[in-house]
Amino acid sequence: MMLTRNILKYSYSFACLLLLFMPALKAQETDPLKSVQEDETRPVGFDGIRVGYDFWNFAEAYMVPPKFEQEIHGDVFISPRTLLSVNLGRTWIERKKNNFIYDAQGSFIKAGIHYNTFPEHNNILAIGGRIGHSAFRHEATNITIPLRDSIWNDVTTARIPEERMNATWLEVCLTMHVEIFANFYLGWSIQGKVMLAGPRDNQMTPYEIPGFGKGNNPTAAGFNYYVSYQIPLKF
Amino acid sequence: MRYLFSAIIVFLIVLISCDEKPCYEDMDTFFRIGFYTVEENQVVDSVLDSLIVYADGSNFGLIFRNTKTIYSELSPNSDTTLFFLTLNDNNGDDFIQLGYNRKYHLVSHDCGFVTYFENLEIIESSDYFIDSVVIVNDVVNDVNQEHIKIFL
Repeated sequence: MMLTRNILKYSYSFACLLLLFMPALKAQETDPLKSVQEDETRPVGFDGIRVGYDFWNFAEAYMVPPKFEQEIHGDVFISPRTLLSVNLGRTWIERKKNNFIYDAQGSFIKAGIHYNTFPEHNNILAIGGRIGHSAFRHEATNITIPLRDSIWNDVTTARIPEERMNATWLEVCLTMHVEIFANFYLGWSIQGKVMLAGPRDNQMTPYEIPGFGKGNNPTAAGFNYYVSYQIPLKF
Repeated sequence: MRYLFSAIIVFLIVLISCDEKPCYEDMDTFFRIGFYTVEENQVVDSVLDSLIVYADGSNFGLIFRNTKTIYSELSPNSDTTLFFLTLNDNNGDDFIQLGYNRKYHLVSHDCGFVTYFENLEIIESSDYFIDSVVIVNDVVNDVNQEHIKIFL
C-alpha cells in the first residue's frame, strides 16, 4: 500500500515537472522574427484579459495533505510591456495530530505590476512585484498535553478558541506564460515573499498564512502553475 | 534557460519536502525555588541536606539532597498548587500555596502544546522553618529560571 502510494506520488510529481517544461519547449520552438511579424497583425494596446487557474495547488494538496488551496489569476496589459496582475485565493487547512487538531481557513488577494521582457504579448517572461493581503482564522481543538516523568498523572485537555488575523506581504515574481493554442496559455510563476505585517497570536503561531506560506517564517517562496484563457476583448 | 529550470526543479523539491518534522523542542516547564539565608546583611545560598516536596493532589513526592535549589511542576489542571516541604527529615512541614493563570502555548506545529503559568502569586505560606518567601519571576515557561526565593 505504501509502495503504491509512493509510486503514485512520484509519478504525479514527474507529470507536474513535465507540465512545467512544456511552456519552455514551446517558447524555444517559437521563431522570434515570426512572432514579431505575427504580432504586427495583432493590435497594440488592450488585447484582452487573461484569466487562469492554478493547478499546482492540486499537486501541493496531494503532497502536503493538510493544506488545500484554490487560486485564480487574472492579468491585463496596461502598456505594451506592462501587465497588471491580480490573484485571488482561498486556503483550507485541517491538520490532525495525535495531540491536537488544527483548523484554519482564509482568503487572500495579491496585486502588482509585471514587466514583460518579450516584445510580443503571446509569449510572456515577466518580472514584477506584488503586494499580498490575507485575512484568516485558526483554532486548535482536542489538545492533549501529556506529562512525562511528572508528579501529576493527569493529562491536560484544552482548546484554543477561534482567532481572526490579517497579514500583509511583498512579493517579487518571475512569471512565464506561453500561448499553446489560440488564446490558451500555460505558464508558471515563482515568488520570493517578505512579510510586512504578520499575524500576532502569542498562544499559537499559524501553521500557514493563506497566500504567503509557513506562519513561523518572515520569508517564504511560492510556486504556481497556471492554465489560462485570454478573453479576446480587443480595442 | 537550462540553469533556470534546474533551479526551479531544486526549488520545488525543497518546497514539497519540508512538511512533517520530528519534535526537537524542549517541552518541559518547571517551577524553581532557591533557598537563601541572610548572614551579616548579605543574602547567601542555603544548601539543604535533604528536602522532601509533596504537592497536594499528586501521587509522588520529590526528594532532594545537598541542594540549594529545587524544581517541580505546577498543577496543570488547577489554578492553585499547594506544596508541602519537609526539611532535613524533620517531623514538621511547611507549606506554600501558589496561585497562577494557566495559558496553553503552541511550541511548534510538530511538537504540540505546553502549559505556561503566568501571574504567579503566593496565596499563603507557613513559617515552621521558612522565614519569608519572595517571587522573583511570575512566569513559568521554561526549565531554568528561578521563580521564588525562600529565606530560611
